[in-house]
Formats: sequence, structure tokens, C-alpha cells
Amino acid sequence: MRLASRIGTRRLVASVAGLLLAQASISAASAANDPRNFEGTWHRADNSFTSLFILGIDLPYKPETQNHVSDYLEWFKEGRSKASAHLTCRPTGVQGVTATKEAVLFLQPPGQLIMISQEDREVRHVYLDQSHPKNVKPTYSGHSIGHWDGDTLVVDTIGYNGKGQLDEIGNPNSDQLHVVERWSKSADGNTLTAEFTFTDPVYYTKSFTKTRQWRRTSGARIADYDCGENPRTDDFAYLHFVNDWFKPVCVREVKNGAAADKVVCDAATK
Amino acid sequence: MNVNVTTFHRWGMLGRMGALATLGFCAICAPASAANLQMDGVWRIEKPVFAVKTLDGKTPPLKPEAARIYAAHQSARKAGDTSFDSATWCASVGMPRILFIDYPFQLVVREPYVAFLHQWNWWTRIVYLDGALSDSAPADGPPAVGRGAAPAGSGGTPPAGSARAGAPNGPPARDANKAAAGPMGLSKGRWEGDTLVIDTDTLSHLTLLDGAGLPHSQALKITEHVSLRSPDVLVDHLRLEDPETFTAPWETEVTYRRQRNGVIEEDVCLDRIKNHQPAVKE
Amino acid sequence: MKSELLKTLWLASLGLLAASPAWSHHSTAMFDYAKTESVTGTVKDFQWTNPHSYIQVLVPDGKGGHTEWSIEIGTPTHMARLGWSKQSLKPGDQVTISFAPMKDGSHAGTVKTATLADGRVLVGQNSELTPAGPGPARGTAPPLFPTLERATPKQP
Repeated sequence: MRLASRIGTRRLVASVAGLLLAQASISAASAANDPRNFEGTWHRADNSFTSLFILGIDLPYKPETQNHVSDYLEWFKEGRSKASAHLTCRPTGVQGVTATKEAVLFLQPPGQLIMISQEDREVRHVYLDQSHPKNVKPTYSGHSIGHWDGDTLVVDTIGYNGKGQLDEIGNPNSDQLHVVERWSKSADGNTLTAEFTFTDPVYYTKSFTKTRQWRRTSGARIADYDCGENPRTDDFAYLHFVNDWFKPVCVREVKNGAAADKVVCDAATK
Repeated sequence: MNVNVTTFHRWGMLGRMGALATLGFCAICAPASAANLQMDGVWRIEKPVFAVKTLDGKTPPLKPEAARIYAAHQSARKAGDTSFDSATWCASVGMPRILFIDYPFQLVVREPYVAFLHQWNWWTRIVYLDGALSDSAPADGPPAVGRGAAPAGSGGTPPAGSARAGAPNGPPARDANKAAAGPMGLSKGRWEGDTLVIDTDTLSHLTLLDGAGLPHSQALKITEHVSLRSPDVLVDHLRLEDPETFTAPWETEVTYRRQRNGVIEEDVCLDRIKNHQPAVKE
Repeated sequence: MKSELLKTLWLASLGLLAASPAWSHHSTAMFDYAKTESVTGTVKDFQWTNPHSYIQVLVPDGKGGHTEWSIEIGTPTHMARLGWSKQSLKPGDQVTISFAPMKDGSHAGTVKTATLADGRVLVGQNSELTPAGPGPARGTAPPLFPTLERATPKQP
């Protein structure tokens, strides 16, 4: 009696295991085919030099904005840049989403889409089926919510702290920036397309839209990129600091090629 | 987390199919996936660790040279000089120290990734489960416009297949994932029942093991057993092996309490130190 | 044939900007890629860090002393793909480095190749010797940055 029941249990466990495996592979296949499943690792499709640095120079500028961007672009070409969140190892907001340089991992637990980017190092939470809180605490990345419109994920972001910029050359954004994104996956599941619509009445005369794409690159690792690991003064020497926000507190002194042994933090700010 | 109707509907198609299949075909086994999902959530360390101790409360067994370095760090700190600790200037605290500090993390259990989303300086640690990393490089997407693109005005177009393995717009190359060491290292994991077993190596030499200044080398390997002690208590049992620093492997354990309705906030260490706050609160 | 001609034209026009800038943290326009200089000396420090790694090398100045040079290489995650590692260089090693120098003449540059004491050659992201395969495209020059005209002239 006991032996029979033992054999029976083993068979039951074996067949259940087989069924679970079959179910797992069916589930995996259906995950890949699910147009609303963006999980996996991706690389930006257009990694051309200018695309990574510039969102565009055909933006609907107010005259003063255009003057500023014209200057920033000249500084950039001269080998100097406006000090920015990106160049001083802080979260970059828009640029961190539109100009990913390496692998990006999308995770979709219930209620969220999370984007984890290697370079620039960013983590972005899109909270699904929620509203923005009444008093959004301003951050570099803003507060992102999303909802499905058919198989398109519509992401809405406000709450930028105004210290970021739209791209590396310095197309500006204020804390009034409002970004709406429409993300969709191709039929073969290997391309993500996102349309970004930017509205910022402080710097631009009207809304404008830019499109970016990502290609699936299964199996890619998100490696560590610790931008702030070694704050050498020669890395800061070429920056224009237009305000105090990004001036470094701790630096390793480098003068004419000779590097100091220690990183020293400004005693006054300790 | 109870699997109630609302949760069930929020799981999405994959989760629902998996749950339905499992419930339908295996009424007697607890599906690993549902138990694992209970680890999802925001966690905060119950007793922050400044100086990590072994399970029996001792300082880990340092080799003589490492002990000298540790003593030097402690003296420097007493004298007000923390330049031995790269976290002072907001370099990553790295693994395992990020597990010891009083900043919450969100645990996201997916297949085949588990992510620790730490609040401290927005660092993440991805645990790659079986199938997540690939050494070979089949191209998933079609070749893309990339850095091999001909310049504007030249009239040329990149040849088909120009997204070479390893190019940023192409699939990962062979050994591209066997990359440089970093502060969080490379974590690979597997489930043993309801326990997540994680092996981490490829760690950078630039971090410290703890706030007290315990050193480590690039040879450090960490094995963790992560499990739920109760619905609201997460345990991480760590085994550290570093033959260049320690005379023998040693173990320690940390527990975390679930933060219901917890949300990870943006934390920018560089802005905190600019505001005269410490890089890592002790 | 046409692509070879184009490649030559672009290499010839390489003046201000050059390969791999997207992955370097700062604007690479501070280096003069049209030039290649070389130093041979002793490694003082090899900083295998982000956002760039650096070789600090002591070069004899011919007067019995040394000059310290800072030669930048890329971020470890990229350089590892080209065969570099934290162990590639250590203090005391002899090394010969070819590099694109700084436009301002300071003792710094960005690496093209590093020849180690045992004869092995490591290439940088900016080297014309970068092998096909992992890494940035060989001999690629990016388009020059566009110009945006001001809306109103600068005030004197």
C-alpha cells in the first residue's frame, strides 16, 4: 500500500514537473509575444555621434534660448562644455532616457515599468495606473506615471527640479517641463519606439516631438559605471560653471599632468 | 503579500498564465514563483552595520597586511581624515557595504532577473539568473544605424549587418559580459526553493567592506542566501571569501524589515555633501 | 572603393573631433587627434577608474629629473573589451605610449597605443589600430557638430 502510493507520488511529481516546464516555456514565449511586455535588455538603435549629444537644434526656441544654445554649442566645439548634471555625475533626467549609450534593462513588475541604464547610470520608475502626487517633490528624473493606450504605453512626467537639461550640449529645460512619451514594441518584438513630446513654456514657444528607438540585445549585462569614482580636477577644468550647483566638493588635484595621491574634500564644506 | 483578486489581476498576462497553470496542474506544490514574489517590496535594514562582524560577533580574520591597512584606516578616521574611504566623495559604497547602510532598497523579483534598487545614490544591483546573460551573440534586432554610418552628405549608407558584435548598436559580443570589475560586481543567482542564492565576484578593489574601513581585494567572492524569515522580515546570510585579505572565509547575517507603502526616493549623494551632510549616514 | 575614398577623406578631415567621444565623459575636442606624440617612461600610477582611467607616467626630462604625464584611456567597461585590465600596468612598469596630445600643450593626452615591457601592444579607443570586432568602428570620424545661429547678435 505504502510502496504503491510512493510510486504514485513520484509519477505525479514527475508529470507535474514536466507540465510546469512546459508551462514555463509557453509562458516565456507568450511573454516575448506580448506586445505590452518590454522586459529585457536593449541598446539605442541610433548611436551616431551627434544623436547622443544633441536632441536637436531645430527646436521651437524663444530667442533668448536660441542665443544660449548657440553659445553652448560653440563652447562644446571649442572643447569646453557647460557644467551639467551629466558631466558632474548626477542623474540626468531627459538625457538619461533619450541618449542611453550602453545597455538598458527594462523590468516590469506589477504596477511599474523600471528602466535601468548603464551609461549614463540611471534608474527610472514609471508608476502604472497612478496619478502624480499633489505636491511632487522635484527631482532630476521627475515623477513618471504611465497607462496603456491599446498596446502603447503612455508615460507622463512632471516634477523636474530644473537643474537638468535636455541633452549634452545644453538644450535647456526648466522645472515646468512636461514630457509625454509613447512607447510601443514592433511586431517581431525586437524594437522599441518611443515618441517624446516636450512642453516647456519657459524656454520654448510650443511643444515638440522627437523619436528614438532601441534594439533588443538579449543577454547583455548592465555593468557598473561609477562616474564619480575619481573626481580629478583635469576633468572639471574644461567646464563652464554658470552657477554653483555642480562645482565639486571633493577633488584629486591634477596640475599639468601631475596627479595628487589623495582626493581631498573642501574642508569648509565637511 | 496575499494573492488576492486585485493582486492577481495586476500581475499581467505572464503572471496570470503562470499562476493559473501552476494552480491548475499542481494543487499540492506551492509554486516557487508566488513565494518568490513575496520578496518584492521595499526593505530597510533593521540594525545598520558600521563595523561588520562575523556570526559569532568577532572582527573578520584579517591577514597581517590587511590588518595593518585596517588599523591605518581606523587611526585616520580618528584623526578626522576619511580620504581612505572613497564613499566620502560619493564613489559607490559597493557590495557588500550597500547592504549594511541605513538606506532602503526595493527588491524586484522577475524572471530571469532579480534587482536590488538601492536608494543610496540610486545604485542598482542586478542578479542574473539562468538565461539572463549570454556569451554568444545572436543579433536580436536588425542591424541599426550606428557609428559606422557614413557622414552626412557623402551619399554612402552603412552596409547591411554593420552592427557588429560588441558595437554599441549591436548584440553583445563574446566575452563582452565578462567585463571590468566594478563596485557592485557581477551577481549570478539561482533559486533553491524559496531561497535566492547569489554568487558575486568581479568586484573592484576601490571600495571598503564597511564604514569602519575593512579592506578587501579584487579576489573577493560573496555568496548570499536571501530568504523571508517572516512576511515582513528578509534575511541575507552572507559568506565572504577573499584569500588575499582574510585567513579564512567568514559569514555574517543582516535582516531587513518590509516598508509597507515604501517608495525609493531619488538620492543624490553629491548634492548631500554639498549641503554639508555626510555621504553615508552612520 | 567608394567607401575607401570616403574613409580617406574623413581621416584627412580629422581635425577637431574624433572617434569614441560619445563614451568619453568630457568633450574630446580638447585633444588634437591630428597629432600623435609618444613618451617612454615609468608608470607612477595606473588609475583604473571611472569616468576614465589614467596612466600617470614619469618621463625622464633629459636633465636628470622627470616630468609626469597624464594619459587618459576610456572607462574600464569599454577598455576591458579591448583587452585592458586593472593588471595591465602597475607602478614601476616601463611603458611607451602613443597618444593624441592636449591642444593646450599640457602634459596630458588620450591614448592611442601602449606598448608594454614584454612587447604587447594595447590599443585605445582612438587608435587606428583598433581591431574590427568589439569596440568602436575603426577609422570612423564623426560628423562635425552643427552650428546654431544666434537669434540676436551678442551684446558687446
